[in-house]
Amino acid sequence: MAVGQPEVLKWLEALQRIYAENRQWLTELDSAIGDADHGINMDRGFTAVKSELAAHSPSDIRSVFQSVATVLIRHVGGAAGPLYGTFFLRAAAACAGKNEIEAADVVALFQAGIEGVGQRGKAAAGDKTMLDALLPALDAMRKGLEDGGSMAIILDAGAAAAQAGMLATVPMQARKGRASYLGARSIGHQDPGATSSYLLLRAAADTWRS
Amino acid sequence: MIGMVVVSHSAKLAEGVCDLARQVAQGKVRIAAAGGTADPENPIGTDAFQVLQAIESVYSEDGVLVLMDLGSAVLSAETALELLGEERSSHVQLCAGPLVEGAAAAASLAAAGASLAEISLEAQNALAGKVASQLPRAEDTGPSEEALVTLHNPLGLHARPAAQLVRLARRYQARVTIDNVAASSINAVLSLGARQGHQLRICAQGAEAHEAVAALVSFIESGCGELAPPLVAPSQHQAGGIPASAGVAIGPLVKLRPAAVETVSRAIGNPEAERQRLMAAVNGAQEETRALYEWSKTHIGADEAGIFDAQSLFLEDPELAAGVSRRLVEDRVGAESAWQTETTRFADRLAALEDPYLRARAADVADVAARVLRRLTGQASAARVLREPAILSAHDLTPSEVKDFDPTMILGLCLEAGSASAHSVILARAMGIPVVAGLGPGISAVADGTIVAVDGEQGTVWISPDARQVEALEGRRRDWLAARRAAELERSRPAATRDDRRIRVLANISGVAEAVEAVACGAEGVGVLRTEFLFLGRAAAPGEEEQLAAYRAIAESLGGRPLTIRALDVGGDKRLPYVEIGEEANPFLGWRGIRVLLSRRDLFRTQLRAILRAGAAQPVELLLPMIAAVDELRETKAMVGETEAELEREGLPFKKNIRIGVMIEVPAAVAVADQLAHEASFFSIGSNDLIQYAMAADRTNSRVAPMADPFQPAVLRMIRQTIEAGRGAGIGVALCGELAADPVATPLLLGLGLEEFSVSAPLIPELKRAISSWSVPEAESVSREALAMDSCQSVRRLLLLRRPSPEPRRQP
Repeated sequence: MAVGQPEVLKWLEALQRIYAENRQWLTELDSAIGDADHGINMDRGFTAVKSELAAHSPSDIRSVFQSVATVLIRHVGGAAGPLYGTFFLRAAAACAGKNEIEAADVVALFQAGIEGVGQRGKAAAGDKTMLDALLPALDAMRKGLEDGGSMAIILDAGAAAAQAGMLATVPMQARKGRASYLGARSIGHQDPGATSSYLLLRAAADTWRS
Repeated sequence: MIGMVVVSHSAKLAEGVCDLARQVAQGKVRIAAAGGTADPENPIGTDAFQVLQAIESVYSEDGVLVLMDLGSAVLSAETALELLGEERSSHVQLCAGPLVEGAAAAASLAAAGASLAEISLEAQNALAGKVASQLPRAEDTGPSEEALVTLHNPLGLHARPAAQLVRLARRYQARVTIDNVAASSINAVLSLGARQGHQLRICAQGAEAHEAVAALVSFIESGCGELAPPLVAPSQHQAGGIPASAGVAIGPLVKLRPAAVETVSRAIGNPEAERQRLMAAVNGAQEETRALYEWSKTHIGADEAGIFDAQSLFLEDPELAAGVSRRLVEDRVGAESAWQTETTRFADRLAALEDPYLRARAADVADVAARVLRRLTGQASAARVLREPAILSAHDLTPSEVKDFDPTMILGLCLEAGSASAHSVILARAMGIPVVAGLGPGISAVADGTIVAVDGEQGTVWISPDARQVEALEGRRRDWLAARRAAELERSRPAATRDDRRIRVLANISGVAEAVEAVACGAEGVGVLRTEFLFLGRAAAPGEEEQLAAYRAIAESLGGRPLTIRALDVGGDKRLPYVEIGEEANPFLGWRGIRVLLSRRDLFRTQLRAILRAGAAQPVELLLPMIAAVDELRETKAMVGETEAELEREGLPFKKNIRIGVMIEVPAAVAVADQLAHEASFFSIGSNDLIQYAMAADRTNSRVAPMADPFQPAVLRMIRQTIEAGRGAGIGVALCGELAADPVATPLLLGLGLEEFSVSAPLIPELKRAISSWSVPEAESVSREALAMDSCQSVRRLLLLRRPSPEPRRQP
């Protein structure tokens, strides 16, 4: 199947719901190794996204993503704002001129967004960040695409890899962001950024499944 | 007017800092605040759009300095730059200096007329004075010592180097602090958040204070174990260029000038006869100069060619001609003497001028004057002789000039122009001479005999380095030489990765001598025999028997190792008198390579016959240059079939079903690599041409040469696509450009699945060593990361940072 503007809106609505539901969990994770605001930030950001899109929803995918980026940058304090903002900014560019996106475009969208996060945060795999969920997810999606998988299979593979990547952050020592100040004491905690990134992919897989 | 932006999580703080800075700036700097978020319920935070607006409100081409407080302020500022666009963001500098002190320092300096770079540096170091004034007084617990050192690690003082630093600090009997925090605490050191370029103040007190400070300074200077090279902060004593040939060298600088021409005293004829002789020499030199001008214009660029244009004007100068005539008549001297006196007077007058540009012209005058004198005296351009080993500086060199050098006398090369891929530089690399190219005209201002150091890996030249720098650089030179020696020892071993994946390392050669050298250097065969050496510099094409003899001799000197013979590749910059190409607006997009061969079938048939016959008793393969379409390959295969039938009829022994490979050097060939792979026996990626064609950038044009970077994402994707196409069809893929020999690129190429590297023979040992230090999974992770990057700079940075795991390769 192909994803059009209505499906993109559905994904963003799902994200608002999911970050609201998981606000407490993300905040708990963040209170262990950060400043206990990640759940609050993500919830606030996507609630603002929802009301912005309710008031004014552009008809093309690119503009939708652009306005998501703008809202996140404006409303999410902390590093998550510019990082997720950059994700959607690059994703928007990847969708330029497309009314519907196919499996390959979806992978390209995530690739552009994830590369953007990598460049903005300058983190590497193993630094205990969002990228530890996103990079394996990207690899899995690319592989799924190369193997000729359907959109559902590709996105499921991405979400599964993101979940594994998220869980793999537990034994890692943080090397980026506030958690890195804790040094070895950051070991044993799941990274909240990797967790919110996993949720992002999970929601895409669930809403674009059929 | 310079602008400044203060980014803070708190709107009040940002405004307050701006007030402070405005007071210092006295209205001479535009200052704007970007503090807090737009959300009244959560006012603490940063907002990239506010930063963007603030930058725009103070923007001018003089530049904008952005100071930021904590964590996400930096990310927001970087996002704002992305939103601002590349053009304008190139005039914006994000400064890692302290917010309050940095803003005050930058504002006062900017008000005094300093440049963006200067105020940024000052802001960055704005804490130094405060730190110094607040250091705890020495107590009676032993001697104390302190030093300032700059952090070079691109990723800042992150966990790994910080941990090593802490371990090192704990070894000494001293209380050590870094920027006033305890060096023995990992958390304290990490909390510094020190980034690249930060100046760190190391203080120690106690019995071993001196040793502790010395150890920490040298550890930090050497890149905290992350970077091999000890970089030094940019200054007038240092020049940055293009890293062109790896290696480190220190020695006296010698500027390369046209060789002095000796004049011998001789009997003088009548003034008119002398004038005639001189005229002939001037006309000859004029032709030579014009040819140099034309050549430089197409190969280097119009700006650089301008030198020869100016020289040509000088030769036509009527004042000069009148002066020389006067000397001939009045002084009754010979043409040589008259010419030398007048031109020297002219050059001296230029050399005495204030204007550095005109002063530099004196060298051009001397150059062209010598050209005339050489014609008068009949002397050839003398080989350049050095009496002691030295570092040479020159504007640029031709390949033949480099070839004239005695490599034992040339420690290193500093080139004003040029690029890493110029032929002269490739040659220097093959000779093991470190080169920094693209230094610009500044290097010519350095006096002969000045001690300079050249770091061809980093692209840095130090002018009169101080004792500490010399010590560090000499250490690196020793390491470099030791690595070369070790590599030479390894040469006889076949190449394999650390986890024992066999990799074929072949040589690019042209001629028998290089075939012998290839075997001596440990090549497993020849990846490309460039057959042009047989064809160039003669009036008619070599015949079948001559070619056969040459190919046989080469195959025999390889002792049974495989030989891949590339069919003649003329056109582009290579012309032959017996292949009439005619005027072409774009020779590199014109009639060259396989295009010539398929329309000059006489030439091609003769070469094919010689190659097939040489393959009768030796492992010979055929390689086709400049293939852009499948048809060209099919047509060639048909010709090979006909040639086989001919040889069969004539009863001559020849190689049946010779393996035919294609050079992948045109983007079109990459695009149809999957189709070519069905028809070809193997691929050989010619990265040099592929890069230039892919980027539409001529590597001899120094303005666009940086575009022709092998690490351009576009190029890397093409290489990946080619390797994947080869793998899909089950045929081998080799890479035979200079990229193959660059040890920095080795993990990337291994990770992409390349299994054959073809390089110039002297580079083989080092390449094998590079291959053996990586495991396949490590290399794959490097190439995965590299392919995800969107600029050649970030790829290069990644490759320089990623080093293989330290454990040595297991010996079987």
